[in-house]
Amino acid sequence: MKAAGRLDDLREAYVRNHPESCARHERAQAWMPGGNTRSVLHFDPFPLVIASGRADMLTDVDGYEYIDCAGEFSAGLYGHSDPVIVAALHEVLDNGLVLSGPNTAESELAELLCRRFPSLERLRFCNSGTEANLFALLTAIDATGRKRVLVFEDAYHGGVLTFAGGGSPMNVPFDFVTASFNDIESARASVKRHEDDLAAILVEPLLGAAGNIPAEAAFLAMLREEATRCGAVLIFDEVKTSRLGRAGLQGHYGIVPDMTTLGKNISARACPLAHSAARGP
Amino acid sequence: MSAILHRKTDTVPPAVAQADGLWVTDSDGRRYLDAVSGGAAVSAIGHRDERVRDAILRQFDAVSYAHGSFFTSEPAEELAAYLVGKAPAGLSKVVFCSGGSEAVETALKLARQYWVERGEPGRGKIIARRQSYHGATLGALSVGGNLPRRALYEPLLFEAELIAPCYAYRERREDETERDYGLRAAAELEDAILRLGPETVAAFIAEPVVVGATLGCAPAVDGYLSEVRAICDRYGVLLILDEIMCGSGRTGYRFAFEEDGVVPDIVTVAKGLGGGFVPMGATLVHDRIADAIAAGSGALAHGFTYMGHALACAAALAVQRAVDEDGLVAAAAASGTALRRMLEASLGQHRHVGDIRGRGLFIGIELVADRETKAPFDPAAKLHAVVKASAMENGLMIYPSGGTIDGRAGDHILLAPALNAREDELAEIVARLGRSLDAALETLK
Repeated sequence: MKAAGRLDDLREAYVRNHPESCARHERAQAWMPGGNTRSVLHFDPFPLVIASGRADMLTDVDGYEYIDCAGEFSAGLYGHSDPVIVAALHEVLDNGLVLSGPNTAESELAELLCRRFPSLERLRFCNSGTEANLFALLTAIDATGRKRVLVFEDAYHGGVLTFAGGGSPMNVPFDFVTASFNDIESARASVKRHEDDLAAILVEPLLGAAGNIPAEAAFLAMLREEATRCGAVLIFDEVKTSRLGRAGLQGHYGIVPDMTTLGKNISARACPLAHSAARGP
Repeated sequence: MSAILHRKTDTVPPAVAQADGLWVTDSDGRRYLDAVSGGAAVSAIGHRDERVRDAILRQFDAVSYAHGSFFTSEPAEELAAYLVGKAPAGLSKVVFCSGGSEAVETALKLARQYWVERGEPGRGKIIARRQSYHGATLGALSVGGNLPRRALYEPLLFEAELIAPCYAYRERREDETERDYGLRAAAELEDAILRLGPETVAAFIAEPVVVGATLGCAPAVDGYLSEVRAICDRYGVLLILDEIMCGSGRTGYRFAFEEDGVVPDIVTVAKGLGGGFVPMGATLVHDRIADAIAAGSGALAHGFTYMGHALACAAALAVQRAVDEDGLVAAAAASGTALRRMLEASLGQHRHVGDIRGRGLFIGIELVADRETKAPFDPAAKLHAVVKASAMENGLMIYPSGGTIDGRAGDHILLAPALNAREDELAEIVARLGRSLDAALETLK
């Protein structure tokens, strides 16, 4: 009871001390359901509205400063104002917008990434990790002529590819089957049960949203072996995990998927950038 | 002025005056935290121990020395029985000596004698690994793969075939698992045996975790040593495992190779065996070698003056009993995990720390100029020497070395504290190490 009372006091103080965030949230609710567009950033009674960021510090619209330990949910590798990144963005802006042609930097970036990740032979860019995973799955479905996709319980591969608590009504209506992460025997049985229809196995080598649970090397090795055996496309979602080694977790484990999706860290969230990449046939 | 020809002719190192546990005091009263067991993974139960003191004094009052061609002794017999009692089945006889180099000489000579006794005198070649170190005597140096340590003596050495070490940090490709890499590295042994002709090869010698001084505790990856064992069996080549530095409980196993699930034909142990209280080494041999000698000439062709020295054996026996009484093999595993966790937290993201590796309380930290490319520092900067000096200034004993990669370039730091190091001492080691490393790097700027 004492704790609950303390929590109420803190909530009241929070509301009292953040009038500008509160006002902005109320205004936002008129035009956006729930007053936000990225649910993960929301908390009750209203989230802090951030005015600016510098290095590892954030300032809210009520003037409070915070040490940023969220790091843009793993994407903000270089903080909020890295001079090298800021200068590169200025240079791009100064060169003019919407140029309707291949730009001068994309192939160089593609080369850097391909040289770094063993599974990347060629890649396409897109705008977010969610989009990269959608493109990867659609490519696998098209290439195999099969429809089914094996994913893992509690995995998160994007706002429309969420598998915690039995999935989400906002998920894309693909033919998903789920197995339990790191459970070698039951996952192998799932592959075997669906192998004739299985287009892809989509897995994060470290289950991020479920609390950063690393895959057992033997579990990933089994997925590699089973995918090869039944002709399904093994996709590693390294949107979050690419930051964990120079070749992401695939380099750490030495296990090479057929396709890799990247996002977040490769752009360090300066601008949207993601891609799906694949090995040749 | 010193009458000793010191390691560096222009410098006399500080004189050690007293030591207790992990703390060493010099003659000026300066105290050092010993993170490397007397300097080279030797003082495995720390400095000073009442049980060892009592055992030495008891034996001193009885008898210290009698040559092995006249007598055996109770402590020598007891120590040999104790060691084989802790070793896997098959390793059943012990030959004593006074240190690691002598243990390796003994191993090489036993391997040679085995083949002559077996009627295959054509088997005389030894295969070893680059970047290995098995000792300073000429035979041990001949099978050592560390170029700078051999170069001066090259005309005096016999020729050994050198293959690649198991060095996952630099040699594993990012598209192969550790196990696949281990199999690839082990395949070099088979290639070498076939190149030389199996009928000419006596033995392969390797360290399960490569000596801290040369390759900075690079451990055999999963599957490597069992593949090596299988290759040796396929061609009848003896497997000598050198546990001088990594053995005697340091990796959290009594013998490091137990973790790899293999049993060698010959094992060398030293350093932690006598715990620094006495110079001590031993070579353990498998039944098949002892039996071949017994069935053949019936005589060991090799001997040293101080083989089975009664006083040294009594001290080593007391050390090994202390290791078991105090549960220090299990402690090394637990403390090793704790120390690794602290090092990862403190240095894991350090821009000049490329790799933290090893097993148990035998840990190597490889320093790099660039983590992305793994490029080493300029060898001319002698970073390892600067780090050592900086650590001594911060009251910390560590064992940095250079030439990690190929004998020339590369720097690493070896940590091998006593198996009974307390958690607060490990934390202090990590704190002093971080300060020493940053101070050393500052001077390179």
